[in-house]
Amino acid sequence: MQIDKEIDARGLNCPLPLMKAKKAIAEMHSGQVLRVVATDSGSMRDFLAYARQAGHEMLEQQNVGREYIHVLRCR
Amino acid sequence: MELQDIQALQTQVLWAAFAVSAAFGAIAQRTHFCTMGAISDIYNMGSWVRMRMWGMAVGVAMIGFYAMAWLGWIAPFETIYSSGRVLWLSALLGGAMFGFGMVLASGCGSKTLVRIGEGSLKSLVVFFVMGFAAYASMRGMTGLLRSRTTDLVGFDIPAGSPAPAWLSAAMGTDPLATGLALALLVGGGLVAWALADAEFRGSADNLLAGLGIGGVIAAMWWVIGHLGFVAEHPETLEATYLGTAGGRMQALSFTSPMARTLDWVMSYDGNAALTLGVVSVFGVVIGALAYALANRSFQWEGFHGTQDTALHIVGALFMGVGGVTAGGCTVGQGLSGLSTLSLTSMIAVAGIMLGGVAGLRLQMWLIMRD
Repeated sequence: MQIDKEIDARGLNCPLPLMKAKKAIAEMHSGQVLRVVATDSGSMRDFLAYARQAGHEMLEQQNVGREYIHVLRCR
Repeated sequence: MELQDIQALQTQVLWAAFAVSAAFGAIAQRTHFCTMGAISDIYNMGSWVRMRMWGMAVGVAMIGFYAMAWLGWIAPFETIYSSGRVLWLSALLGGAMFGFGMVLASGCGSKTLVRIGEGSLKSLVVFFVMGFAAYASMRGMTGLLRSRTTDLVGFDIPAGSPAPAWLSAAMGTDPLATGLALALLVGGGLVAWALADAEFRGSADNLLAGLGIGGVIAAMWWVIGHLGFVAEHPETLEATYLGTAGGRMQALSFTSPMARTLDWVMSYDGNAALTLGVVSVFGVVIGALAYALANRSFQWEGFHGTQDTALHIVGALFMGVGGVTAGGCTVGQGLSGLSTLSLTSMIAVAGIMLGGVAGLRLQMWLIMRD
């Protein structure tokens, strides 16, 4: 999968990972893919809800060790 | 009741308060119950799901509180939220400061304790700074400032701040029946509003948060208002509520209790009495820790950098000063206070919401600037 932009939100708590993702998405084009790496366990719920609300496609969400990885395709 | 019976009952009350607080910590850890998160979800993505959790919790606590009052188990107009003096400016400004601070500090007082249980060293720093600022606002410099400025602005409601008290006085109705009717109307409305959303209903965690946190608040009212009530204390010959710092009926709150916890630890001489607030602080941390260990989500966490550290410290200072000025935090004025339908609590909660939005706008501005 081609990642167009990646955000390192490790060490940041809610709502900062989501706000950083919103800023990145605002600068991306439709169909492009954003990958966010966070360490806040609440980000799993936050990103799922955000993708649903904003109409972005959640391509992947996984917990690897202490990291939570979210991959979204911009609407 | 003899003095030794009182001491035995006080121990029982404090253990019960600890157990209820631990349940709060475990439920909040599992369900991500968070007032700041609820405001953030609306601001950032237009999702009201977590706010529905919060609304349902308030509704359940409100119905529980006035149902117990109607049954004669507790005296609803003897709480710390019943004062007839409405310090609206302190409630509004203090609430706004608290709300602003909780966004910068990754959550309110209760969330800070839950995060400590999850292994957040950031939140441990927030706890110490918030406790220090709260102590200064109770007995020190910012307390003096508060008493000479915002606390001078207010108005009086002779019947008391809770809506059923002044409504029943105005209409000539029975206060307890009025309280139950209003609680069923407002609290039931909040529960119905939460349940009206299919997405909210679709998650067991959402229902657990709404019912569980609301139930915890109601349970704490029972512990302090019923179990801990002594009609005549053998030493003072006055009615009192065991386990409380001032002898008045209260439930969960976290700003002043953080200051009291630091005070208790630092001045402990072997005899310092434990209070509801102190055991609640320990209870929430231990409840969250136990659940985080059980579901393997415990992990150590430190600051991300200088800006992250600074924002958390500033947020903690705002929360400590604001929480005491407002007379409580998102749980104290928010859940416990709103469950009594206190006008002061409604003003404080409005302030917290406004401050929270201001904090989120600042966070977004900082991110856009980078």
